[in-house]
Amino acid sequence: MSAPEASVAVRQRRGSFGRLFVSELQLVFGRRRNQVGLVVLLGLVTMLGVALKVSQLRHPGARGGDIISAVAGNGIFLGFAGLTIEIALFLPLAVSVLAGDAIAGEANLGTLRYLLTSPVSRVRLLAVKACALGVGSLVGALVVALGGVLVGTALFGAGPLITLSGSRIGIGDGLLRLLLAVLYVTVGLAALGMIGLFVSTLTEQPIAATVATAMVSTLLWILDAVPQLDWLHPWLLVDRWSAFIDLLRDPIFTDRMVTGLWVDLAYGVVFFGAAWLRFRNKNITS
Amino acid sequence: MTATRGAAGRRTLWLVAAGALAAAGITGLMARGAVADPTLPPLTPAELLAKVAAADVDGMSATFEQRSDLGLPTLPTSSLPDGEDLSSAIALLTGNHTVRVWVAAPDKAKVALVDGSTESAAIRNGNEVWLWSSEKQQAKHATLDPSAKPTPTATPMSPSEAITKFLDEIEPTTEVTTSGSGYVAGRAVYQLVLTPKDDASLVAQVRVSVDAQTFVPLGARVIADDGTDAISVAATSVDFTRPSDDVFAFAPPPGVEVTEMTKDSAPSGTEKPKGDAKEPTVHGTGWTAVAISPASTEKPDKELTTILESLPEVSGSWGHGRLLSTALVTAVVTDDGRVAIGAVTPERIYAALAER
Repeated sequence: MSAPEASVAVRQRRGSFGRLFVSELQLVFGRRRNQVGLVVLLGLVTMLGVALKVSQLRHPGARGGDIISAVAGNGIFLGFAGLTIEIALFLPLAVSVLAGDAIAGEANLGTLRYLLTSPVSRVRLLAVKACALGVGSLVGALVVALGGVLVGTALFGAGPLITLSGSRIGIGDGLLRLLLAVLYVTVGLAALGMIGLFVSTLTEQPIAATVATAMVSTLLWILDAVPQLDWLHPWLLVDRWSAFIDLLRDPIFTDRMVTGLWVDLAYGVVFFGAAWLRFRNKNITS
Repeated sequence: MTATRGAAGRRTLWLVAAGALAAAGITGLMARGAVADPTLPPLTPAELLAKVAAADVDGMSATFEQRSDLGLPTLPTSSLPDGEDLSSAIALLTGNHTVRVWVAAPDKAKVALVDGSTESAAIRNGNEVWLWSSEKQQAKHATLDPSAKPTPTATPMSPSEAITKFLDEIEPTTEVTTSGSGYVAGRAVYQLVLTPKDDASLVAQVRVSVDAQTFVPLGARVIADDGTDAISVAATSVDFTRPSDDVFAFAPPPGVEVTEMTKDSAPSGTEKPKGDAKEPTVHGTGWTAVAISPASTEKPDKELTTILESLPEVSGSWGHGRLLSTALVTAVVTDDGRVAIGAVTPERIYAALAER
């Protein structure tokens, strides 16, 4: 094979990877249940905003110091509050659904063997699935954060934010920090997605894979809440998921988030590797 | 076929290696300081203390982690009597906390407790002092009197004289050595080791880590008799560049309640607990001192009684009471309401109670 031919082959392979990725995204975001899922995520943050508005109207002046109470003074905080609330259950659940569909769903529908006829290797196929899970995590977190900002601004108005350190930052700076929070949450959710991807290669039942992944995240949260197990906490995937709140300090406190990103990365690499080891030699019978 | 399988095998190997590397990276991140000790020129305790006293840095920003394992049962702090101050003090003593510290000059400093999604800070900027609590949405402010000079000590001493005097004073009860240099926050440190000589002390050792370059203390550990770290405070990251002045500027955000502190209402730390008419007596000195509060006729409230009744009963020539024994602290509450507390073995507490 001469050099130009080889480069054409490489380009073709890259092109097929890209095409597969785009079609995967179309598939993920075209599914009615995933669209409904996004609406549910948005609905939850709206519900939180409305509940806070009602409580503000009923008890004007009462104000606590936590992030949820801060929403009453500034709608932008609803973006942060939405992430804080939904990271515990609903965002991981959404990622679990996507991960369950990724391999087990295709196997269940019998479409996996057709997918394997596309001119990409199995590891690339798995990488496409993993990237789509990452995009899904990002979109989920974005919908919660941006939906929170829009709903919050409509209900409470927007203005300069008061950080946890008592200083004031402008709206632009606040939105930038919210975007960083979204990215941080995305990395954590994508790491959970890799656990889900691995589980998804073990079964042909998407529901089983989804339930197992959601249970893993819930179990990790429960373990993280048991004070007697504090020696274990630094090793749990979810332990530093809420550390994005450190973005609301002045100056921003990065230590916990950096460690959190390393933990996410380790979980992601290990479980993507496990998924690949399993998927590499898997007999695709359906 | 064999070629592809070989390639796949190699890839497996790479993958396993990557996974192992990631796991190792995390382990390393979690257990920093497990590397070989640095070789530092030996210093005697007096030399080390002299260098600490002479330490001069432009400023620093650091993060400290505090861990406590006192072996105390996890108490529902909300149910404790005596209001917020006591329960927050107990909360500080137990569990783990993260503290950020900035220093730019003797009169420019900020300490912030950054646990969970709240922040409490104390800021000194020139003559202005602010206390901030994000949880209570409260700011307290005080203006220091610029004319007030620090009260001069009765006999002015040079630092080296003071150190010699200090070492002489603790010498009878404590063995002071420097040893086992290690790493704190990735920096080589000297360790000053204080070992109580009295066996009755529950404190096995106090180790203070001092940065080998700047001679700024970066951590301290109180090791209990059973070998556990009862209390440890250590820097996790430290930077010796002068922090920007913005860090020390504090203006209370709008809508926040600001309390002016005057001399009469000094910060709660220096306040005496209310209703404590009689002073406790102290038996013994140094590490094995035992404080005994006088008998009180006041009935403890219900929750406290419940907690007390769950403790083991003890009795002796001194009377009868309940024993709270932890890794670092022993306390006995007698039936007549006396409370004896000290970092000593229960036997020493009984002896102190019998002395009366």
